[in-house]
Amino acid sequence: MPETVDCLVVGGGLLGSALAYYLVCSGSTACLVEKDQLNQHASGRNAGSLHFQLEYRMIEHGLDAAKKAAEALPLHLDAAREWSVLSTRIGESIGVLQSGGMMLAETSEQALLLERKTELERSYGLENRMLSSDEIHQRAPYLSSAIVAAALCPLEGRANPRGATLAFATVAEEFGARIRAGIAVTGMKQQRGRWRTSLSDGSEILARKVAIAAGSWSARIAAMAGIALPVVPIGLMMAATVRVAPFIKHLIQHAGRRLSLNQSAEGTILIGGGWPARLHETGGVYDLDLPPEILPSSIQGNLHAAVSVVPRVGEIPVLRIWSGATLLVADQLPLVGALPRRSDLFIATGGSAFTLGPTYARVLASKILEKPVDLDVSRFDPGRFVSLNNA
Amino acid sequence: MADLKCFDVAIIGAGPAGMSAALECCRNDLSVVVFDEQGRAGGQIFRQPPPPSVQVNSPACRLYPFGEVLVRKAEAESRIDWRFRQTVWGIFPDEDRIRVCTNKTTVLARKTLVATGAYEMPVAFPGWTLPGVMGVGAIQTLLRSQNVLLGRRFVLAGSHPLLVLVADMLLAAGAEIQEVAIARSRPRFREILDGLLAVPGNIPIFKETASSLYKLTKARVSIRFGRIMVEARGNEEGLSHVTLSDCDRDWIPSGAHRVFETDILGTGFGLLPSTELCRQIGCAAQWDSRNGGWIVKHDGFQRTTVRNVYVAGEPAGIRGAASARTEGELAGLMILQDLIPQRRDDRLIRRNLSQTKRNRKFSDRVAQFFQPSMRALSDLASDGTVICRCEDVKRSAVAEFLERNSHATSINSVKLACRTGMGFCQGRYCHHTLAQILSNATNQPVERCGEFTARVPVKPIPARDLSDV
Ligand SMILES: Cc1cc2nc3c(=O)[nH]c(=O)nc-3n(C[C@H](O)[C@H](O)[C@H](O)COP(=O)(O)OP(=O)(O)OC[C@H]3O[C@@H](n4cnc5c(N)ncnc54)[C@H](O)[C@@H]3O)c2cc1C
Ligand SMILES: Cc1cc2nc3c(=O)[nH]c(=O)nc-3n(C[C@H](O)[C@H](O)[C@H](O)COP(=O)(O)OP(=O)(O)OC[C@H]3O[C@@H](n4cnc5c(N)ncnc54)[C@H](O)[C@@H]3O)c2cc1C
Repeated sequence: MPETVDCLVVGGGLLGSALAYYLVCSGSTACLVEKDQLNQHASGRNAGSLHFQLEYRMIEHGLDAAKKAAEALPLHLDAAREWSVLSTRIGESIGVLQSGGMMLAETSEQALLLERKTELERSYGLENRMLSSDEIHQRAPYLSSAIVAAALCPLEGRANPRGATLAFATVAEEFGARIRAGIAVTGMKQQRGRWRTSLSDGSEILARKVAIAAGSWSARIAAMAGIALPVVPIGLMMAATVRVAPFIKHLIQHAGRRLSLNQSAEGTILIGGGWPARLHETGGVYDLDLPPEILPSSIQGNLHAAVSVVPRVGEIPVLRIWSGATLLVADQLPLVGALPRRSDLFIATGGSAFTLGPTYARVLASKILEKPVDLDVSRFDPGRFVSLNNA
Repeated sequence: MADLKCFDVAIIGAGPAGMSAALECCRNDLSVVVFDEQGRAGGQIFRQPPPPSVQVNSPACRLYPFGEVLVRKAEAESRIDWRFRQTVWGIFPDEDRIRVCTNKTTVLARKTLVATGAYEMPVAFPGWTLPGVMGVGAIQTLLRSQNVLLGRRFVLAGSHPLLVLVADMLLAAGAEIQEVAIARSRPRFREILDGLLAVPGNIPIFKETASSLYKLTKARVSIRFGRIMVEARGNEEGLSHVTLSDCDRDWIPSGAHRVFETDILGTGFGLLPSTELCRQIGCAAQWDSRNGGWIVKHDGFQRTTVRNVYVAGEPAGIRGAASARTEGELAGLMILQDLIPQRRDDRLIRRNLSQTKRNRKFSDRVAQFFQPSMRALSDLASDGTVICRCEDVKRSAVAEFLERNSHATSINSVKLACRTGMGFCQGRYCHHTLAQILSNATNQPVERCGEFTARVPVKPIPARDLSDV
């Protein structure tokens, strides 16, 4: 007899682990299946930056594109509240520190863009304001004197990506979730109102509902159910330095360069911000199981940006550089909800999904449990791509 | 990044493997660049005092007479572009070449040989992080290259033949050796005989070891089999006491303890291969418990699984200097034939292969004879013992994590959660200990626990040096 559960969660990153937690907390039975180890992929490889203001990639193509991206700001506002209470709620430390994030400008054009951006963000209710040049260097004396303007979002900060996913998983397991690592979901078909899913160890699970929390693999899982998703994986790199005494208080981003930088609780400086790593391909298909290839040009570009903004970083030894993959949605907005034409198959993905992970998980759990959702997410309904799935 | 200098061959490491390959390639008119972190050619075993001294003083040259010749030939070869005191922090595929990045420069090479040698295997036991507890290789290196004797009284413990050679060196330098404790049980006559039969061509090594043993015995140094260190005590100033215990055939401490008041404890349980440059670019590794654990896989002709990348010497298996030399030569011959197929020389390759085979026969015996019991070694660490000294992680922290996260079965998951292996040494110090602890806790063979993922930079490099490659 195959195991029977209310909901099968595919993937043990932050989203899957948090989702399993919310599901079992509401008395549902849930099984989480992870093909590798929990937290092995994007959720354990990111910088843990809590991004609430619009990021560089959302503003680099001008204000109109930024306006589109801003439609997701209600989710960001929710996430800012969510992270501030999470440790207390689940009773595990997840290293949240919301000490403010600054987006920097080095030219007057960048400063102007920042100004427009903060206006836009404030119109959605996000606290974010421009700092004068004096104020910047007073608050952040570690920044280069070339910085002429900055936007400060006091809610921004970081959490611990090494621990957050496991904290959710541990509590979920204590509350009765079944966690099976080292086993992949290999197929699924609908059978008498259930999903019959097959696993790589030869077993099967019968689930009323299935949640796809498979990060960059999400489209592959949706395809098992015959659904096409307009998403593309991208490879990114990150660097970490040795531990040094804390001196970088803020999450640092830049309005004109790819850069994001924060200092972890342990003292490590984490440097990233969207520099590409090359996904491996076999016969025109991305091989997502291999870590993306790290490019010397990205190493150079990313560290150059970091050193020019925080000059002291130049002297600090870098210990390791790694890569990971994350998912972009064609229209740059998140996907949260039931898949088109599959009312019992759910997904949440897109954007900075470490920041948004806990919010995605809470909202998706409500949808799965058919409870009212306390946040309007209709704008992000995967049903908007029904035209791709006409069959 | 315009106009990088391009070589036919880049070699990383100027030990016996790297030097032999460089000479082989140079002899055949290939353009060769060699990088080494050290100030001169020689590698670990034939390490020389820094310039301007010209002497090739390594006592290892008595064991391996080819050493001195090799170093002299190498140093005289001005067609080779020697780049000393440079750390290669990463190698990357660059179309049909390899981009070699150091803390000072970047070059391109059509073929790249990784000959980065090995490093000493540290053992975590209560007190192992005290100043005064160190590897016998480090004691030897300081004595050899800087003439520094670190203390007056020494206790040496371990299982590696280096132990005896270092004891002899220390004695000659005027140190007092309180005891040489060898963990394995006293070898039976049969084992020694088998060892000798594998020897042809390696007689000097046995002679040298025997002569060291003789000198130690004559000086009444106590050499004990079936003994292992179990604790070191002292304070920030240094070591004061070492406790040795009798141990059984599996090296499990069993019987009587003996405490020594001492200055230095040298441990020597073997070497671990420096494979990180190969693994960082994606070369497949394979598990070989006898020859150093995770070693770089190659096709029998030193070609790794990554195009244009070759490996020779210890990263391909801990087999000693003679093997390193022949493997280096073979790598040189293969690089030549892969670059210029008309220059293929089957006669030389065959000769080299049969030499390599002979060396292996010997090194396999040695490895078998001295193979450390990793399980017993990992059990020397108590709950309160620091496993990862860079990040100060105790064994108990790892145990607690594993208890709460039964889904975690890979060494990289433990690293991510507990920070073991995330520090300055990049995991070189704790990898093997952690793998064994995880293997015991999860009841899976140690090779199933995996290996820390190798990442660039393979040594810590200031951000500024990476920002203008
Ligand atoms: C380098 C980098 C830096 C980033 N920095 C930030 C940041 O600072 N802030 C931020 O908010 N976001 C950041 N992100 C994005 C963020 O990390 C991801 O969006 C987020 O972690 C996604 O979480 P997830 O749980 O959806 O996916 P993942 O963590 O990738 O988890 C998905 C899991 O599903 C599993 N899976 C896949 N297929 C199957 C199958 N068939 N069967 C079973 N299991 C399967 C995978 O093995 C994987 O473990 C970054 C991403 C990268 C790569
Ligand atoms: C401390 C120590 C002492 C030893 N003493 C003896 C002994 O007395 N007798 C004996 O028989 N064997 C000894 N050995 C074993 C010895 O290593 C081998 O027998 C032999 O030297 C292996 O040759 P190799 O060419 O493979 O590597 P090695 O001789 O180790 O040469 C490798 C070289 O690569 C360089 N290197 C490594 N990584 C990088 C990098 N990223 N960038 C630039 N350069 C790099 C190193 O500086 C080194 O010079 C010792 C080993 C160690 C670690």
